[in-house]
Amino acid sequence: MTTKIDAPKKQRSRRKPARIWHLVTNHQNMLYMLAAGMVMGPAGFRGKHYSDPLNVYPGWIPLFRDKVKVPADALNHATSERKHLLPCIASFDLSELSGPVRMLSKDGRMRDVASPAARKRKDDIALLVRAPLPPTLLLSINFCSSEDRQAFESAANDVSNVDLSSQRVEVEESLFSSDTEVSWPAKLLLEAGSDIIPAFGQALGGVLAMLYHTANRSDLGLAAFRLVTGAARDKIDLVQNDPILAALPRWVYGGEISEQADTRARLFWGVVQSLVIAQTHERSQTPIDVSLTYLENQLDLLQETEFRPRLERLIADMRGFLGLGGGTVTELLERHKGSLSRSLLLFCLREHCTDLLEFSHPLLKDAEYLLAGILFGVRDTWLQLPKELRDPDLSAYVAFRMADAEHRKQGDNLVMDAPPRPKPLRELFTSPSGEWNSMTKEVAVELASKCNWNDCIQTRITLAEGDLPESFERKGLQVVIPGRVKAVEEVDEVKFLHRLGQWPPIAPEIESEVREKLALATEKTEQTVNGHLN
Amino acid sequence: MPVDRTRKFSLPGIHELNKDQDEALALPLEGQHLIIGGPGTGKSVVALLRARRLSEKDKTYRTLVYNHLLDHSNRHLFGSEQAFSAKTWDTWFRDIFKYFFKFVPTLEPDYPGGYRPIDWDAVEREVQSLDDIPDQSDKFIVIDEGQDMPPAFYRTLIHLGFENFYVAADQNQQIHPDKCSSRQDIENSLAIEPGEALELKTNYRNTRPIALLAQHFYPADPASPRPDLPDLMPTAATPELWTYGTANTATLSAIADNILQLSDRNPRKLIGIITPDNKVRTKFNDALRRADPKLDNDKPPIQTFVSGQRQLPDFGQGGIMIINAQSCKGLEFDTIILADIDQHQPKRDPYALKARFYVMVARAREQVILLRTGEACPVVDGLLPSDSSILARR
Repeated sequence: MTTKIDAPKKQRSRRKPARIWHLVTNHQNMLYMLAAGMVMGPAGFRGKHYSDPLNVYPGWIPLFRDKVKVPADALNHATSERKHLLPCIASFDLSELSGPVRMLSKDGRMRDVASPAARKRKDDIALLVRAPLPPTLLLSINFCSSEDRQAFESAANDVSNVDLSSQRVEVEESLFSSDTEVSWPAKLLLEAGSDIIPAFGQALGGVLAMLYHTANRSDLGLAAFRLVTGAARDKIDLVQNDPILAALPRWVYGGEISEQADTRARLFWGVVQSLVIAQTHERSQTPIDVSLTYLENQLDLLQETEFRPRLERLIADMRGFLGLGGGTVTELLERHKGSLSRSLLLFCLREHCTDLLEFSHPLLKDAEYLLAGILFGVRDTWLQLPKELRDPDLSAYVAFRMADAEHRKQGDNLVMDAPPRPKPLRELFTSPSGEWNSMTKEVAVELASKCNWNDCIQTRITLAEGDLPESFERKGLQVVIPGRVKAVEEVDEVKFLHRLGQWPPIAPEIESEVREKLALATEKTEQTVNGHLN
Repeated sequence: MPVDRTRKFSLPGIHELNKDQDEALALPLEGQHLIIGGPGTGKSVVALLRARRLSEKDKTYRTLVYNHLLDHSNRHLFGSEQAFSAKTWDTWFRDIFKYFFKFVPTLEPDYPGGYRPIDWDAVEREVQSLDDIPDQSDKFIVIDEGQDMPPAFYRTLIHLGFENFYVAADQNQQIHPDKCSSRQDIENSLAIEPGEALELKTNYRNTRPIALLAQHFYPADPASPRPDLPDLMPTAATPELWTYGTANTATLSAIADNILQLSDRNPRKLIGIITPDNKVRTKFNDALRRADPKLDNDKPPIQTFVSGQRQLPDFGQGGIMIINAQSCKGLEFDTIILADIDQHQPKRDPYALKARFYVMVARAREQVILLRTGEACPVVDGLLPSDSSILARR
């Protein structure tokens, strides 16, 4: 795949002028940050951070002033660790960002300012913004030469989780003409422990992505995704009927699970929390071992004695089928009923989010599948998701939510404009009334035929009134009906929605075509409604 | 509907490549490069990514491996998005040499009608006589398991004008040490300065428990650094040692049922059963074919391969593959089952025996299961770790 060098310019608010600032780094760190969906401090790189200016003020992102030469020391620092590193300058537009930041002067003095828009002094050279920032604020990724840009694109092409299609990757030699007069950093500000692993944000990103993709599978999935992305709270009862899923919004917004919650909910979200915490530690246990350790510790604390033998059996089976024993999947699911047990079994049975999305079993209920998706999202995190799970709108939204969650946890008051909520395809084929309009029906037929979902296409033949023939003639593959008829191709909605939720997803080009048509249909409907109202 | 067992090729995530691998991938396309690393350090991954990049840039390249099985396995790992230009090194070399000299000097076979090895002394004499060295600077050679080719192979290619080499090698995994190249041989032939070879030190393929077991069998040779333990993989489990066929243990047929159910639980996974000899290979092949346990899906495909077999196994499908230990080098499986471990040779050379276990164990990505009958061999027993956190006795 080649990068779209001419990716469209990022849309900015027309009201606000661009406020451009530059991060000096290297091409490898840039790729990692794009994969993580976060511009972040070294801790977030889990040992793969190549020393660069992000090391200097732990937990702060140093952004150099536009139209002022970047210090040569910063550029040298960015490529000092290994000889294969290429200098890279990421340009940010901070016009959509507000909240307290720090301004850094040439001589290393620092002052707090109310926002990146604060008036700059003559000797100010950089802005320090609390990490992380979403890559949606990136205006462009710049290289000194076309060879460097090409090497960056080749490196992105070697990995599964970096998508450059929505990035502007440019050659901007002038940005690299550095200032050798300014020594940088002039003075260090070291705040112990201020650079933290954004484990919760990353887990949230993984969960949001899995909820987005599983939303196409069921009404429950769609309701859960809408609930955690702030859409209208319709069909909320579907989510609240399951005691474990009912606690989902609380976890998504960073809350702890209540001690008074249902035992199954406490156990499930306890596993989730253990997995998140384990990611902030020097890794010594596998995610499955983390879950098993947590569940084993809970055995003695369980007040409901009837749960104990069930949990013991679950733990034994989770251990058993990692080796040479354990029976078939059907036997396992029959032995363990209930969304807590079955989601944890799936957690051991499959490795990654994509594996789960490909998996189906007739015994699995929607809630069980959804909860498994949450566990998989927490385990894989946003970082590990391959490109096929990173829809551009979803990526932009998740990046914002991940950064927002981390800032809220740190008590930062940074404010960013949220990108629009991404809509799963199932949502576009769902109307509040439950009825599809003619355009939706048409697009559904088109989509079904493009994807060869012939099992869900049917033809409705409407006979002229009073002309009901007594018999039909069949000629080979043709049916001859006397009189005039109207034949319309349509989809069986139940079968169609089932197909929509299957994996692999439909091709991106077909999906974007469908979305465009449905958006146009919505626009037309709104215009008609407005016309009537006016 | 039959279950989909397709094993899909997937690129590594950026978080899965370590800094050494990043550096190996960033090496310029031109020039001579040597990548050294133990099993599972990702040598083959970087070699395949290099081939992929050469293919994308429309360069004339060839990936060379030791045998047909590795070539076949690499084709699966490369994926089907682009054409993969690969061959076994022996076939390719004979073709190239014939192109220049019309014939390839060979030695007498070991038996009438047998394989005729290349006569390297004669080959080197021939290339010395070449007046015009052709310009081969637009050609690129990627070599996996480069320690398995003899030093004369490299020297000859240099004489024939080849300039661009990307060689991945591990001195601890030489198939025939007397006919293979050492790290220094390759460095000398390709004029690579000692400090220029890149070392991959971190285990990339195996889970930590598997890497711990593999390290137990590590045959220390400083030419290839001992791989550091890997970070965690999601479905790690402690390697298991099962005894079967005795009064108090499972029968072979019960073990075969369990193996089939293991495959049935995850149809896309490839289970490799590595056997010490043809007798054990046939025993397991027969037992698995006879077994008929309760399964959710149709019975997993059971493939077997023996050196010299014309039909090569399919690495693109999940299921069970039974091979002898001699064929396993360079291959990768999701789960490895080492069958009848007490039958492995050579017993009189514990160092070589240990090296064999090292290579076999390191083939596994997720799980290793060792099987033994009741007749434990003291030499093999002495090689096994006693720590149950490294090898759990079942």
